Amino acid sequence: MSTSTVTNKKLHDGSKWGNPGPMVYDMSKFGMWLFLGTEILLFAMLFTGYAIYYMKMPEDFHNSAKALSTTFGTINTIILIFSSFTVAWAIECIKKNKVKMMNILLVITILCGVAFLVNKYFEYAHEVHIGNLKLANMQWLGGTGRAVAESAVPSMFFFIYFVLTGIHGLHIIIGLGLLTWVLVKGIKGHFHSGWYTPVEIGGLYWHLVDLIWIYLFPLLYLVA
Amino acid sequence: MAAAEHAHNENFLSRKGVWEWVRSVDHKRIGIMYLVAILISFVIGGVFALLLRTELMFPGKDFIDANTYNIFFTMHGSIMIFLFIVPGIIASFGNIFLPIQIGAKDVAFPVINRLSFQLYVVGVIIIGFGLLSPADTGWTFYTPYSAKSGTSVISLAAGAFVLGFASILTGLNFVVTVHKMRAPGMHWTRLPLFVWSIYSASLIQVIATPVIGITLLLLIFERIFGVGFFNPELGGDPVLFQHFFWFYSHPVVYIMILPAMGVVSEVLPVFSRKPIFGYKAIAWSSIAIAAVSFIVWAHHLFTSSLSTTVAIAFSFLTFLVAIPTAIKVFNWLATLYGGQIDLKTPMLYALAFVFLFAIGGLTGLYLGAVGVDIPLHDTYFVVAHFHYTIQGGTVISLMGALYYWWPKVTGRMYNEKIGVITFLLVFIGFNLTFIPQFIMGISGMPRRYFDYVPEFANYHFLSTIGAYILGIGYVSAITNIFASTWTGKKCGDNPWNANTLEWKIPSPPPEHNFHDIPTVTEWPYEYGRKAG
Repeated sequence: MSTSTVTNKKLHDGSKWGNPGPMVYDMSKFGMWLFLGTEILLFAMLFTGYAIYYMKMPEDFHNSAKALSTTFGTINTIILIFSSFTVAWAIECIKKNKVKMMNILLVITILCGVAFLVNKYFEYAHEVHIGNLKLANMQWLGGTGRAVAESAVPSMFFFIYFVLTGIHGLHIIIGLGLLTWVLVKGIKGHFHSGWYTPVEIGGLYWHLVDLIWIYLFPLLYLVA
Repeated sequence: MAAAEHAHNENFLSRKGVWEWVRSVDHKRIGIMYLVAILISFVIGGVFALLLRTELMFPGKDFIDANTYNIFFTMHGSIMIFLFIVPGIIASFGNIFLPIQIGAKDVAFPVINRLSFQLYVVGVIIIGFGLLSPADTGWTFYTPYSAKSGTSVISLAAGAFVLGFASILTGLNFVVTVHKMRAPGMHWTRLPLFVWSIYSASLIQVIATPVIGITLLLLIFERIFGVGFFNPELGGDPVLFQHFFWFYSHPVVYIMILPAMGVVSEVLPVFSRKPIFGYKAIAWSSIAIAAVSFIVWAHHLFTSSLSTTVAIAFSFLTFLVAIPTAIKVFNWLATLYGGQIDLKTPMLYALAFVFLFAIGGLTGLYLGAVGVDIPLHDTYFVVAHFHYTIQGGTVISLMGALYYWWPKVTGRMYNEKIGVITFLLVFIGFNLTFIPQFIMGISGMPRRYFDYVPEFANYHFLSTIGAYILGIGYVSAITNIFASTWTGKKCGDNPWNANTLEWKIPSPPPEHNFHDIPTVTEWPYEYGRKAG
């Protein structure tokens, strides 16, 4: 309480808001953690759906998961874990005022994210080819909502697979946007050891995206 | 409390022009924009309600057909829930007064606060597009019908999704603000109870809203790509949708009601000139309600294939909600006891809240009891119960908040006589509308029906008359309060002689609220013991 009131005063003595300082760092991190909480809850509901349908139709999950390519999945897992490491390193660098090193590490992180997406694209293409998409009953309805079963036995596993990985992919794209924004600011020299809140916020978000993938990988690829 | 008493010529309304409002990140301006937006939504949603009541006034088809009726009740429900009552008191008065009450110059993230309002507007626009072919699913979007209906369910769902984001951002902002931006000396035990209630409701917003987000997203996927998550023809489970939906939509009723309880906890001590009774009990009961709200959702599903054990468990969990709620009601009554009660308009609304909400809450226990719920499910009893809690609770409280705080926002006093008369219209109209609905519900009148048997004709007739009185009451009450902005007499900084921090600064408040951040030395409820 006592420390926060001091910083509170500091903030108010400066400009009304946006004043880079310990208070903003403190609040932004707290706010970001809350936001990450909402993201986890969003995925939690999908995981709940997964658990319920897994209990109802375990054979579907075991058999369908065999059709997924563990190679693609493993490569992507390694890429993301590595990118988590580089983004964490980037934050450590800026704490020690190594701006150039931070920028390099951010570039590597972003490249990893892009590599993930490219890999995922090829994986999806492969899946369309071998008919997994058809098994998920995915089709363009244009919002009329009159779904018909395209295959004889539509697979709940593949509904969940495409929805989960699709939403996760969207988060990767958002994370890449966030990190690119941080990188641009980093190149312009906005950050130093006294002000690196956006770097840490971006890093936190990227960790979350990785973390979710770490759960997705065994649930989707290794369940066979 | 030592507060800044600097005279400012400049206040937060000084700079004029639409652009000043659009670009502003001032929490007070954002709060007022929210307030105006939700009140417009309230009036539109109310018009739909009156159209429905007019159709139901006499048996048989009067002026709209059954399909139009479905569309109208969907519009009434969606507009009232998503556009009006969920943002409701939190986004309007919460925004205007929460930072002032804790002694801060603004919320933690002012730009995100503005983004929240911008998202709200985007959500409204998306829902507006849907009016080209309005949805007819009811505001609950139950599958499988919502996945098949030929109407524009997508835009309604997508709009609600975006509004959910607005809601999350507001909640997140308030949680961080309360944690990090309290003035020196503003300990948790000195927080005004309004802040406690907004804080609890914000926690629910942050925790529950992502769930409805993903649920609506799945529904949209279902309609666009044919994913069969909730579609029984493809192996999906429609009851799962109901679980997901109510996992959000039950806590959300506490997002609506908690801030209303907060307003009442502020108004009662001021107008009975007594310290609030049981401060800690009221504060903690807000948190308790927020916590319990997450484990009661399945009481909406007693008739949809719950096992008996689960149903009984959820029934008992539902009863738990009554405990913190009753704690509040008893503490409010104890606050009134022996006080010098001053029946000004805000106080009338606060007292009406306690009365009406008690009825709403107690009938909720009937519905929470699994055996009683089976016959009452989907009858007018549920409709009447819901309106007693949310309209008799939240809307009445919002009106009280308007009468209590608008003189602070503008520095001008409303017309008291009109205030009291319009209050009576609202109070009488409200009870006349919904008491017949309780009776009809017990007699078996199903909700959402376009037509009914002649036995119910008298009740429906009375209910419609009540609805018209209620409509006139609300419109004239709101007109009265807003007219005071231009015609009211100047009323000084503290017309109610109240103690919370917002009354210690000039009216209208200066742009940055406080010239110097105040140092707080005591709780704000020392009424009667010494000069306020």
